[in-house]
Amino acid sequence: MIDGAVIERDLNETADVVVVGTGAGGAVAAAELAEAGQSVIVLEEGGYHAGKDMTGDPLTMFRRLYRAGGLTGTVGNAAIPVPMGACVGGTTTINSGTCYRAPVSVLRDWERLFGLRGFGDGALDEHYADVEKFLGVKPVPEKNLGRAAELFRAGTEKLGYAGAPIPRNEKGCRATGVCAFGCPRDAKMATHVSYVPRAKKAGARVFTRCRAAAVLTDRGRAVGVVARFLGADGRPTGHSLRVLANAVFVAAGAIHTPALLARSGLGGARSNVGRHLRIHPAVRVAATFNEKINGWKGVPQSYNVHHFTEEGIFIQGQFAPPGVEAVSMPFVGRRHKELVENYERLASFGALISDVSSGRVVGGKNGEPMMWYWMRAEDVRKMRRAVAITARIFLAAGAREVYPCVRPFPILRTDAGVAALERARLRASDFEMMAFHPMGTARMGRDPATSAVNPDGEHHAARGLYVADASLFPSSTKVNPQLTIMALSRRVARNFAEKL
Amino acid sequence: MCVMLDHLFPAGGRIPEGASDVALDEKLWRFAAEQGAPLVLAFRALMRFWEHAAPVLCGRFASLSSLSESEREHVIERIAASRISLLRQTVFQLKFLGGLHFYGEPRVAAALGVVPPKVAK
Repeated sequence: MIDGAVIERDLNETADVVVVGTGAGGAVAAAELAEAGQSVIVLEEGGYHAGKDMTGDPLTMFRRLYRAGGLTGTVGNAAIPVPMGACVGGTTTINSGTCYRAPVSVLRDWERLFGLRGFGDGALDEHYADVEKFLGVKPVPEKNLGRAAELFRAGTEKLGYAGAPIPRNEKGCRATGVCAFGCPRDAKMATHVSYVPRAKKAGARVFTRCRAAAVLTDRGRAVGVVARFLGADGRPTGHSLRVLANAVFVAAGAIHTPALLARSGLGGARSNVGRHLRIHPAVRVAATFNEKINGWKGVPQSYNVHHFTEEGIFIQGQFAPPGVEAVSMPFVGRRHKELVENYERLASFGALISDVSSGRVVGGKNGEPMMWYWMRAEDVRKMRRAVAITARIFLAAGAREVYPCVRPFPILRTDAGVAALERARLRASDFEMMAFHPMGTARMGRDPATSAVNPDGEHHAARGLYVADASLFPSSTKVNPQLTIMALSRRVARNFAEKL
Repeated sequence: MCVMLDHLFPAGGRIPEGASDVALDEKLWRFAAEQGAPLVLAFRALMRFWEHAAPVLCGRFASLSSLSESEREHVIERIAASRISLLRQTVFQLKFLGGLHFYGEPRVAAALGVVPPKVAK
């Protein structure tokens, strides 16, 4: 790995393929392409950090691993934080390692509405299977579930809902409970410990702290990338890298991929680049029990309720260190602090919805692009239902108080209270939301009028330019997208290599 | 900033420390400086809002720092529970960033009973 921060001159390189990004999309594409015999150069804006650098302290790790220190979010009818990774491994380094295949109904819709032939009939299955095998995807073992998940499971079963331990990409997880701040044991198979080393082994060269500034094009064909080296402080060093290549794979994530394309003159009003942003808005629902839970013990995202997936509601465990978890408790001042004092008895789950609202990625010419997102009434109602279901499960599990992070309902203690929440007229801004899955901003499809890239991931207007990340998704996946990003990226890379 | 943080994270109870005990205001200004000029400016604007505008919005025609402790508490709680999202955000952002630093303090976390994970290999 070549650290851009220490390079003291401009560089010119050539390769068969240049890949932008080392997250779920870029790392998989780089590995597949390098193993297919292509000379590959990979560009990553963030730095490289191994398990020994992961302290588990949110403040330190926000600075080290997250884009803008974790302070990225949407603008619109609700301010929704959307944290993203900015390091080797991208968001796979800071996610919970949750690995789901997209439901067949979603893939069928993609085939029917966007002409992605075979998607409804298992065209992605071999890609999913290969990724799952390599990453060691398996359900969280019973010993790592944690007490919160055990209680939530009891509540789920009592209400007759379907739930299960979550499949994760890990090898030797010791449940340190800090997945979102980088795995200190390198047990989570984020791409910086899986696909990036595999790409390097096959000959790929990786430049870190190297921000792609523009894709170079010549007569409708992508011919390379210009990038700027960044210092350890994230500021440009003044030196640049110019890579000339036969093909460019852009996998900078669903916010920065469209921004890069737009900077390169490959956006525009009719291109669909930057449009159709989906984010899977989520609300944290916490609850206190009479018994001690010690939520920091066990895998934070270990159990999910998939009973409502088809209607676009997905409920998953989560827990974070006090600096992040405690602030979501309601009220301010003494009342807030008194609730936080029950931290040992606190459990927390996330209610996530598959959104039909869509936003846009705009700007980003000289800095961070802006995420514009307007949550529609349909999604507000869905969110209300998702929060209500989560609260009911907690109450069924024996919680004495539930904190749904909904403005008019700081605390729920009874089913009647939940019913009142379900009847309430709420606005998007009444929910304290977060979102972790931006997608859809360079979606694939046959028709250039409704998509940005073709079913092979190649830009409609620039030959040799491929997109290989969550930007490709034509709609919300209804579940965590990492595995689908990887499967799609593998498919795009393999199809490209087969055509050579 | 100090006045606000002392109200958001008061001393006493199971967590004896309050914002002042862990020098929370200094930590937040340092954090803002590390993040860059826009956040420092945003913090300054936020403080001006709290000092001058927030009390007026709650019917108190005086600066926040000149109000009695109970009046300040009233102002902060009213803004925190406001129907207007933008007003609530002025509390939430400070609560979020303050809480990140406050509850991240090892002695505060220890008072909550949290045992940090063993991260050494």
